[in-house]
Amino acid sequence: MSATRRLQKELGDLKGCGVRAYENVECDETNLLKWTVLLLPDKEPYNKGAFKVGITFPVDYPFKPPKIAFETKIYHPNVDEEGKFCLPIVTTENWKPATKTEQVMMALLSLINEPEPNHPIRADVAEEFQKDHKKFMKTAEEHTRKNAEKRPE
Amino acid sequence: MLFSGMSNEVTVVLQDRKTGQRRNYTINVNNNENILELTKSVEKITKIPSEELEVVFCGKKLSKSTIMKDLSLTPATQIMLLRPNSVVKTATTSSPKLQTTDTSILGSFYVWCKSCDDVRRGKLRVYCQNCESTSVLVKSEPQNWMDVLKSKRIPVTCENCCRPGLYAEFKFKCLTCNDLAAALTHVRGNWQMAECCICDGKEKIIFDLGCNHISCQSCFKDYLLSTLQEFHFENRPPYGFTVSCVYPECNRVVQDVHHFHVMGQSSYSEYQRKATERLIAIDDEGVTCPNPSCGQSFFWEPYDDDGRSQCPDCFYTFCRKCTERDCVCQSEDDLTRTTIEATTRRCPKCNVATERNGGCAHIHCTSCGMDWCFKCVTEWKEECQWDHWFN
Repeated sequence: MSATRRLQKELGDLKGCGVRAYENVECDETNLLKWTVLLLPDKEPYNKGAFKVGITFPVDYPFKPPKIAFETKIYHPNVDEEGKFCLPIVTTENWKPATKTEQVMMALLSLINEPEPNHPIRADVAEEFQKDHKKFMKTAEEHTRKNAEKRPE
Repeated sequence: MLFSGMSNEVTVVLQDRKTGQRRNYTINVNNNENILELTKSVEKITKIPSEELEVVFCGKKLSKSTIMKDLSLTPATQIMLLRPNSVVKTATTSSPKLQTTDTSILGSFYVWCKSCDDVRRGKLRVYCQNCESTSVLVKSEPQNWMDVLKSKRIPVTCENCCRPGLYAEFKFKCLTCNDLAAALTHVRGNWQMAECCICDGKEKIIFDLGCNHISCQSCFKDYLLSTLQEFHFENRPPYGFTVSCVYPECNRVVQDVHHFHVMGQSSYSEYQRKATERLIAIDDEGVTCPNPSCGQSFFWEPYDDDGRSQCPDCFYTFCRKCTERDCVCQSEDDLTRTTIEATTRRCPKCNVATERNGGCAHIHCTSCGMDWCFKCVTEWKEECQWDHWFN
């Protein structure tokens, strides 16, 4: 089965899915394997901005998982400074070929909206999140205002 | 080969209980005829009234309206005709277990056929477990795959050896070439013409592990080949190294390795070799021959052990610890060994050398599946998570 056919279908499905939080998806004009999704979290402190997420699909997609990372800086216990995060459904061990990009985006959105301080990537941010939540909210909001993209009207 | 033409010669074994005789006849039948017409043909030869004859095939009495071609006959097939004596006949008709049935069990499943090297429609044949005769009558219908895959599940009466306490032996054959084949319990026809959940294609033959998450043969093959690349098969006893359903978070697994034949012969052999190596690696008394031209896996004898083993295949003798012919465990100048020892830690369960190139201290062993802590080199515990997850 060709990755192209499946990706074209998924791209169309995602654009027409009607979920504002991840329907803004763009595909590299010369490379169907590279997408950018504009993620719009709806919970404080990330609802003040939009976050670009880069998705790179392998040539043997969907039999290997896509690589996903934030291109916009985000202050979050589960995302590191390079934009990388740990999402079980896209790890090599857990990946299933029937997993669709929309499901991956749903899982990522839920991780951003509801941080998991017990499974942190950035231990310092997780500690702040749990011990001084007020300070965390303030820092994250400022960080969002300063670094995030503008939310589309 | 299977007969595809209009007419067909079949061997009929007549068991006449009135006279106690047993005779074989070769009868020419038209494939569009039904069983009633077959009994009439036999009547012409034997002068036994057709209404006295019962036709038994695949362990069951056939209804008189069954069409011959639905039986998937070959020249080698034997059909049993039974002429009960009147006493037995009364007993037979009063028994609810011996009612005539349709032929739906014949040819409604798939097999892996080695000769055709592909998934094919299969047929089920029933034999006496004792004398291998086909002149048997099942006392109860098989209800599920286990009833036909496991032995001693379905009791039969055999007209040939007539012993008490007999069981049916089921065999699967390829409908295309008539050779013996392996039943594929996870393959079925796509009755609803549902879409493959990987490529959205609609194929006639689909893989379904019992969860209704279906995939076409081509996608399932690609899934297996991709799993084989870095050997991501999981060890799931009692099924061994297998794969789970293609659908996210569905934990159903392939329960029979015959399904892995769809990868093709060379990939299937590679799967078998690697699965064996992994099983040997997680066994305390298993070892793989380090001779580059061999690679045979075997179990060593713990009795009178000196730490050295000889490969039963190529007779290479080596130290199991450093895998060298001339043991270097005590020498200091083995750079490879010292580098491996310096940069890796060994899995506490299977002892495989593990390198950590980043991330947290939680290691999931890809060899045996153990979750362990790279710092403590013991099983991963909650304390590890709190105390030194990221060192």
